Amino acid sequence: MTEKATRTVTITHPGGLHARPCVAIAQMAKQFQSQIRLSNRRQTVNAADVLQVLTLGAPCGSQITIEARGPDAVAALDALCKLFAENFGMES
Amino acid sequence: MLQCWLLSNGKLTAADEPEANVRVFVRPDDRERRELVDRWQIDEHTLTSALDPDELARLEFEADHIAMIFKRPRNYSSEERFLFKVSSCGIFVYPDSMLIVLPEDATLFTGRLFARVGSLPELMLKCIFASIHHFLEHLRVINAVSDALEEQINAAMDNKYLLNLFSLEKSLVYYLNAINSNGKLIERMKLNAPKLGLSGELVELLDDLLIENSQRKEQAEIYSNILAGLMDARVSIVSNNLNLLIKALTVITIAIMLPTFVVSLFSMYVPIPFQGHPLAFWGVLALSLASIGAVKFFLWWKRW
Repeated sequence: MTEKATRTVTITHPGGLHARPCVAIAQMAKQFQSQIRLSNRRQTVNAADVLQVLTLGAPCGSQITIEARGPDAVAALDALCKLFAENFGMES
Repeated sequence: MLQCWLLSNGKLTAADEPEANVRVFVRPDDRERRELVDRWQIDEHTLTSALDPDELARLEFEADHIAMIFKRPRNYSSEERFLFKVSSCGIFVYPDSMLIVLPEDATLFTGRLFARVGSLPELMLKCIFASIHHFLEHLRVINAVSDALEEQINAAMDNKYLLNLFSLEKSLVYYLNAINSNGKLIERMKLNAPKLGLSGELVELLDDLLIENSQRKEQAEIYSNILAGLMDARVSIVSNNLNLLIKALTVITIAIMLPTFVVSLFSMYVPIPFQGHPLAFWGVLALSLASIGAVKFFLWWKRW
């Protein structure tokens, strides 16, 4: 069954969505079958493609909308929101 | 911009300017630069070096402080098109305080590494440790981006992804140079450990830094060699993809050209055979379709 879910998160990492978080997001998105898209005010990108995520350029405090479509959409959103909430598992 | 911190009882906490013993100057303006030179007696040339991304890492002993410049990766921004650059950071250690000068915004003193800091020299070493760890994480990012670019190149026909790979290769050269420079700084620090006031425990930490840094250097060298070595093969793949496209377009052109020739031959405004025949139109159509079949058979026969 195909599910569709959308959530909005705020980037709290002081460095914003820089190189390391982008790779962490892409690696996480690849683990799910669902098509996951991230969008800010300027553009929408495929979350599983690190090259596209790197072009988002979202600073700290900006809002990102995550949209997942597929059999594990809700699980994918849960995992990605957790990643954002935990500042991408990064210490600096 | 000035950020103030207090290092007391092994903890580093944000503090007001008068009580702070660790001051971080981020992109100092003219007034702050004046303060650094006049109040803190920092040599103007050294201060400029700390803010210059092209400056090499170095250690200098001044009359009342130790000046140290080391390299750190610059935060990646989406405008940089896969070019990862390096930046400099200046640390000035006084007997009872420490100044850090940064040319850009950076997140300092976060994570477990800074949860417990015993002294200012330890904080200085941990800043270098954080920088080495930052290099490691960026090398992993470069590797991940390189893998993603390779996947795209397999089907690409333009130079966009190749140019991105060249940017990554250039980034690795910057990183190698910076890591190498940091290595020389750490070696010099080890030689001058008593002068820097480093205890036995901190000298051990310095040894760890040296090992960590040399591992990063090897890692950067390996990535750089792999990227450089396979670049020619990737250029050939793009060229081959383009050849395949040209071949497909040529086949389409020839397949259209032959029936066009047949039809145009029977369209000449001169007396032609069978022009009065009731099935002349269908005959010409059949002949043009047969010519397409002939082209297809020829291509199949030649295995093109």
